[in-house]
Amino acid sequence: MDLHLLECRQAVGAWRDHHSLAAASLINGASLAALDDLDKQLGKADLVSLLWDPARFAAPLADRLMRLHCEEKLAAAIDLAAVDLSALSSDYAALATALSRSAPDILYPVAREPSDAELQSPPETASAQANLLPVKPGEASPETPSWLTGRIGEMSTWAFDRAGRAAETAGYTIKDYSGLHGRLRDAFRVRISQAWMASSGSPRPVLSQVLLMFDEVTGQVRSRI
Amino acid sequence: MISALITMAPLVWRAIPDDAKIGLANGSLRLFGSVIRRANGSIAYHLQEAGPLASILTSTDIVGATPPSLGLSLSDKALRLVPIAQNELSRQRLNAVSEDIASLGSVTHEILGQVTNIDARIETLELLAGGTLALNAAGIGLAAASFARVEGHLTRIEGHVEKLGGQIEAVVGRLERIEHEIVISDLDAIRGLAQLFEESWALEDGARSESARRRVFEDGAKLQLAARRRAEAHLGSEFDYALASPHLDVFALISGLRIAALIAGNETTAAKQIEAESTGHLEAMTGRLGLVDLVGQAMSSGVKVGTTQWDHDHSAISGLLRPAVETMRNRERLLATRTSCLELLKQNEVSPRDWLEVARLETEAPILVLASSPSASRNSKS
Repeated sequence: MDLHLLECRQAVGAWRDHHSLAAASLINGASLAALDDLDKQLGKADLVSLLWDPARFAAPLADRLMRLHCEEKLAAAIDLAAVDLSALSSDYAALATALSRSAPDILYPVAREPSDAELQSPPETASAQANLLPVKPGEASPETPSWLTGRIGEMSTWAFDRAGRAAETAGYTIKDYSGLHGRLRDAFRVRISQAWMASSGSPRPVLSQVLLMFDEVTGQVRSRI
Repeated sequence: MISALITMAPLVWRAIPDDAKIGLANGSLRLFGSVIRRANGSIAYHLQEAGPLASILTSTDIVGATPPSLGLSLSDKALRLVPIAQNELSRQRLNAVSEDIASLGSVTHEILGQVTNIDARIETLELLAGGTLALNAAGIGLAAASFARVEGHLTRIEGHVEKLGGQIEAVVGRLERIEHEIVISDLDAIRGLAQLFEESWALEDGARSESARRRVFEDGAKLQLAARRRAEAHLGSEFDYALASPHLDVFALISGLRIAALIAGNETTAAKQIEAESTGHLEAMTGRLGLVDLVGQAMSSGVKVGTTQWDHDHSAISGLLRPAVETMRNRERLLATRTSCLELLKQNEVSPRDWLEVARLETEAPILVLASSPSASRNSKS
């Protein structure tokens, strides 16, 4: 047996473990920071109006804040992973370079922001749901990468259900400020868990994309040795 | 065999040499399966399990049949945590289990301390097992594969399988029960082959001895394949490492037994070939698996993302499952280093069978250490 090869394969496996787990922690850390930001924004009067329909606003807000807290750190984490890979063996230098250059290729979810008009017209009844949810399954905003189409479809379907409940309970939820906060936070978390932190899904959540990068590199190394 | 002893005497140690201890401590040497390697990858020492190992590891002085120094209890515990973690793992629950494991560790330490007082020979095992869990179900080195050693492994594996059987009784149907019974039957078959291998050493008739070893090798092939298929089934689409683990142990065990049977017949080429094939199969099953996969399975439900609870659980589960991954890696390393000292034996014109017999008949040291060159040995001995 060539023990050196086995050792190399095991070392790159340990590298994958270390950086994959670190990436998951990083994204969770970003979600904590994003939730903090959300709490700060909840205090603003204009945002209160959005709470008529928490679900509709959670996804775009979550995506914006998550990207703010994630993008740079994730790029740095991928760079660090590339440096560590190079340190394992000079044979992996090319792969490490490729990995490092792939950070900008991560596709970040961008859910469609509600329009001003939508912000001004809170739902009145459950029957008005269709008008209140302009994002239909399968549609995407021009800024949205095509791979996100499916995800937005899922989210709008999900928002549809939530909107029904929001309208029915508007009479008392408006008085329950903390309850609204909780619902927005829950919707925020759902978006993060589905579009950012899930290990699989279509389109691929951000964490899944990063894990795939590390898996690809590991697979390449294993196939070469 | 006496000539083998004389020839190998300058290279053989009955404890870890001081140079090796220092090298392992400062990182200039590292344990890799059953060999100690230098920083440049060359092998400095080979480890060979010897006769007394079986009695020490199965001694009732050391917590029943599970050797505490091997870290097996910890990894098994961690594996049992996976289903717990899948079911709404709460901080309290996790803390309780963490404390449980911490106390297990302290008990282990305490017992090890007692054993060390009782028998200084354990120092060797402690040194090897302490940081790296060198010894696990696969055994080490050119396995003497004594029946007692195999029996110890099988008892532990059976315990694991029985536990799974209890779960099977509760939740699944007849087919799974039949499958479970087949597994138990296969373990008995392995036990029978280990017994046969043990007896082959006592046979004075060379042809009968050879026939017994051949049967171990040939019948073992079927059992090896069955264990592999079962492990693969649990590592496929319905991934569950905890269920695959005992089958992987069985695979490693029967692979080691087959290799030992070949070595005992001085079939070095075939032994190396079976080692390469078995290691290839094992690596195909577990080589791509890592901590991130086990943690991903354990974290798959329950805990909300974007919470400090998630961070806590993620970190705690990673820590708990780390020994299981280390066991996985060691299983691969141990199987890959089964025949590593054959070249050294060849250089010294010692037959593998004679060397195995030296190890089997050793009465003091649980592990023999074979220096790769007399100079390394002299440096340590001086």
